[in-house]
Amino acid sequence: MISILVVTHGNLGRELISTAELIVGKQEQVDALGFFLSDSADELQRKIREKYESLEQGEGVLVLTDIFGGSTSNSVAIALKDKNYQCVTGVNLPVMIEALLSRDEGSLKELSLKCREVGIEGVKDLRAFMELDMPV
Amino acid sequence: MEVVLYRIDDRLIHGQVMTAWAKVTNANHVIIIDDQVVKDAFMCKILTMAAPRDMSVEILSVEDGIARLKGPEEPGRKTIVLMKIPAVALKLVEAGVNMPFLNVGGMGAGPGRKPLFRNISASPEEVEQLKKIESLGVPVQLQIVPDDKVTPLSKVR
Repeated sequence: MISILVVTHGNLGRELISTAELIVGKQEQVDALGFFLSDSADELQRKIREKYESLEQGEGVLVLTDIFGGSTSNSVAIALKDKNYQCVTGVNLPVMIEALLSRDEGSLKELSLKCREVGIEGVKDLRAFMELDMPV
Repeated sequence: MEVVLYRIDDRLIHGQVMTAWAKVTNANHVIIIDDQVVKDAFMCKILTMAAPRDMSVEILSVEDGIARLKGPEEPGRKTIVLMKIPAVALKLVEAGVNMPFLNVGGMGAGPGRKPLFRNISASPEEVEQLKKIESLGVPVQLQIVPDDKVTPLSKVR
């Protein structure tokens, strides 16, 4: 099974996992890593490598990060340079759930593409979608 | 060249923080000055990728950076200069770069460093370098994001 690591600012990742578990049930081979104001980027990179090593079971790791161009994503790119990983940035709850539900079907690359698609699809202008008139 | 901000931040370009500074300074260009980063093609790629979409990025050695900053005006360009460590800022000031003030926004905790102010840590040597910069006429201001109020170096030590 593909493992999943969520790297975010603060406790967002931990909460995303526990919230997703409300919907899809308790999960294994999934972990979160939070980046806090007092942490240095070097420290975050060290922790990312540690988590990767403890999660990887031979099928690779899908990493989900909060901000493209942020320290979380930059640190993943540096820390996992030579590792078997894919990373989807801009994680949201639909992405989290998709990752947990689809990680038994297909390759790591396919899972990553699917998650990105679901993430983009999940962000909508609800009123426009419902074709309602906006109040003045 | 018009430099709107000289900043020390060891995370260099990172997402929304860079966007926030670009907004308040109207900057459209970033120059990173660091002798290690400039030699690391992979890091250069990540930093260029991390920049806000409408900002261009250059990464220069200290020597090239000084030459560039003392060079001719570049019309239409407003630049943020980013450095990782105070030693680089001190070299710039000592080389005669006109620095109205130095913003210190991020120096992570690490071996030899002690907390100075919020998420800013510094070694005794780095504190001396910051003081030296001030003694050369450049106020050192601690400010992580533009919404924070400015804290002068003299207030924290």
